[in-house]
Amino acid sequence: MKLLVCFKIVADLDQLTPKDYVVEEKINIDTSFVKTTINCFDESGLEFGLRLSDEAEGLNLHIEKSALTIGNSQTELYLKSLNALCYDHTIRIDSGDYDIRFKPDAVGKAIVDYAEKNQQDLIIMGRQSSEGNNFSTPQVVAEQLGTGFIPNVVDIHMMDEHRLKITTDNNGNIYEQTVKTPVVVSVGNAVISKLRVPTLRDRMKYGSKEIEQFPLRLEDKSLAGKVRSLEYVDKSRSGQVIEQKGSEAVHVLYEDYLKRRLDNI
Amino acid sequence: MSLLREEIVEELVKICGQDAVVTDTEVLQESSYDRFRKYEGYHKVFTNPLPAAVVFVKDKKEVSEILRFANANGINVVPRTGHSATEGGLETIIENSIVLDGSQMKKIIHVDTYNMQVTCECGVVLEDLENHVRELGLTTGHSPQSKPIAQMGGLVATRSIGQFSTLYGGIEDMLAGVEAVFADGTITNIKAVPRRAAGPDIRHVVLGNEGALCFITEVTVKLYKYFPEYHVCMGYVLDDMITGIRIMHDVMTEGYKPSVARLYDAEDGKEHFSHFAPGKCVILFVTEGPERISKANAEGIKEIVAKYEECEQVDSKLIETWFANLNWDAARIEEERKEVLQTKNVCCTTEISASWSAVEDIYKICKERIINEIPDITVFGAHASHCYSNGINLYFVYWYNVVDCKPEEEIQKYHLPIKKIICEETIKAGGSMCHHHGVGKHRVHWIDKEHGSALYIVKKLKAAFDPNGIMNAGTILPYKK
Repeated sequence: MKLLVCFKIVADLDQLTPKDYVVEEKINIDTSFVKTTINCFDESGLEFGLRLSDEAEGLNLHIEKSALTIGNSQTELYLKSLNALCYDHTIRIDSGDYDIRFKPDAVGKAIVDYAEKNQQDLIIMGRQSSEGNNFSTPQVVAEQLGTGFIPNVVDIHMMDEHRLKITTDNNGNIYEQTVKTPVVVSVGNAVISKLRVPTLRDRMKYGSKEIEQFPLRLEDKSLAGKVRSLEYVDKSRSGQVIEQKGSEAVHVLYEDYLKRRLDNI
Repeated sequence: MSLLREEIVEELVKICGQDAVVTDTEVLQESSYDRFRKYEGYHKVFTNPLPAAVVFVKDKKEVSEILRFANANGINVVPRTGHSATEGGLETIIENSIVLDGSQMKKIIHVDTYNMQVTCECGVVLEDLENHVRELGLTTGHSPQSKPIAQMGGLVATRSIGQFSTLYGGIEDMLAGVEAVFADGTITNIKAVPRRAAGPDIRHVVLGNEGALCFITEVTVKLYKYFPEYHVCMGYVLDDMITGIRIMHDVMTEGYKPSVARLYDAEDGKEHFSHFAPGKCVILFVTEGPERISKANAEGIKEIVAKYEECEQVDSKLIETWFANLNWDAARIEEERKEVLQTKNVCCTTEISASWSAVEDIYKICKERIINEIPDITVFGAHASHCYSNGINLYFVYWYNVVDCKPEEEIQKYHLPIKKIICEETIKAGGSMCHHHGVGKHRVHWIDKEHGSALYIVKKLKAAFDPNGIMNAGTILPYKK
């Protein structure tokens, strides 16, 4: 079985303060000074790739694992780490000067280009990323490849060379299904969220392993659409400190706050 | 004759009241260890004997009564405040110990803005205290990573140090006065004065005692004017850790006083700076104080760094943002718990200090030995974060995958063998095996080599102040039945 996991490196937006949300001339927020991280849903996907490989070994099967990302040379640190975790292929598509973070058509097309040249049985993608948040890229990939698509995947297990047991979460309803490959899956709030860590020895052993480069071919239509404005979404909530203590505080909380809310129900 | 658990609890309730005495099993389990056994704790495996109770004391009188009771009945007492210790100092290694918790003693008693000192109870969270004095334009100057959770009593008891230590010093430089209760119930108050020469400096009996001599109830620390507008933040990337150590040496011995001076090797830096310095070491400085002093220090440091061609300056915003996200709060500990349980990848640390002439070899030998001798290491790095005119600290940071072993075997398979190498190599080179986390219960194995002939003084202190051995047995000195 051939497996491709697509992942995105994103800025850790938790490190930004409200005052960092300054819109530049290019209609962009500067996130270059904060740490980067693997998008959380993609991180689950990468670990699923390794877990499926472990399960395949137990079934005397082999999974050829590939991990692909689109980004600049900063992403190579993560690809090297995936080399050390024994991904068979690590691929970087250099987006060059194009900012396609908010263009799922363009991102999807780049992945499809790779997958058409390198046929895959299973493509695992995170359902959304903190940048863009459009939920669209996995659908775009499945649609363009003409394969089946399963959204909101929370767990994946290997059954045999051509079948997977996939669990999905649809608004709190859990479904388990047997799926024949090829298929594209979009990982949601999965049962595993963290990627295992390679040992120092493996990092040294695989440190010089090649990271494959794949060209980005963009069509004009995939670059259509222009960001016109950005604004900070203020999620802060108002609060009030109760000055009384103990049972007196509970009384005030009930009389001045909870009771009013209950009356309004 | 030792008392039964029920008898101990009954007496504690008599002294402090029912509400202050907790005997819930889950609380007792959580109170039987500290962050040294975090891997076991995350797996809900508890290998230490359970204490009889956790007692939340309200004042020094209650502390005194409990200690008098424990001393008369030979009951081990483990003092604590913020429960953020990292070296096993809070482990209850004797069954039916009393965990004496000062976290409810959280009054800020007096802020003296003219004499520049603040007095507070032991359970005041450092961050709360700092926020309180910041509103007055002042600072304690103390800022360990545990600032959001650590409390003043524990910070004094473990000889803590903060990120701005190169200017403000460690807690020993900040502590003006302290009140403590000893094993026999005696309440002592060491008055806060600028300096005195009335015999030995008795603050140092309390500082760093780790609950093995007394329970700290109140502390008075110095205050300083705070000028955030004059902070100058500087960061550089470079190839070689040893070059970085030499830059630190030059800065310190030329007499400059940055508040922050930190150096990360490439491995440790990977966890912090990979977005701008992949595979590189990072050295950073912050200067502060009145405008002219801060500027003069910054200029002097820049001049020294400029002599080292391999250093390349980076945008100070990179450093400022990193700094703003450095501290550990409860949410971060919870995040770590989830990550450890899923990946079985654990991060531990050991911090040492050594003279300039010894530190380079300690760094090289420890790194080489641990990478070669310990299995499943995923990261082994170090940073230097506290500098002195005569030497520097090294904070070894190591991560390992726990492979083929039960949670309760993790310490023996990984953590202690690593600690052993670091402590023994450091002591052999003439350094100290503990820079600022204390001895706890897991570095006592090398305490005789650490102190040499001076161990006599530590033993005599213990014998004098805790003759019945009821204060945090097994901490600072090995436990002997």
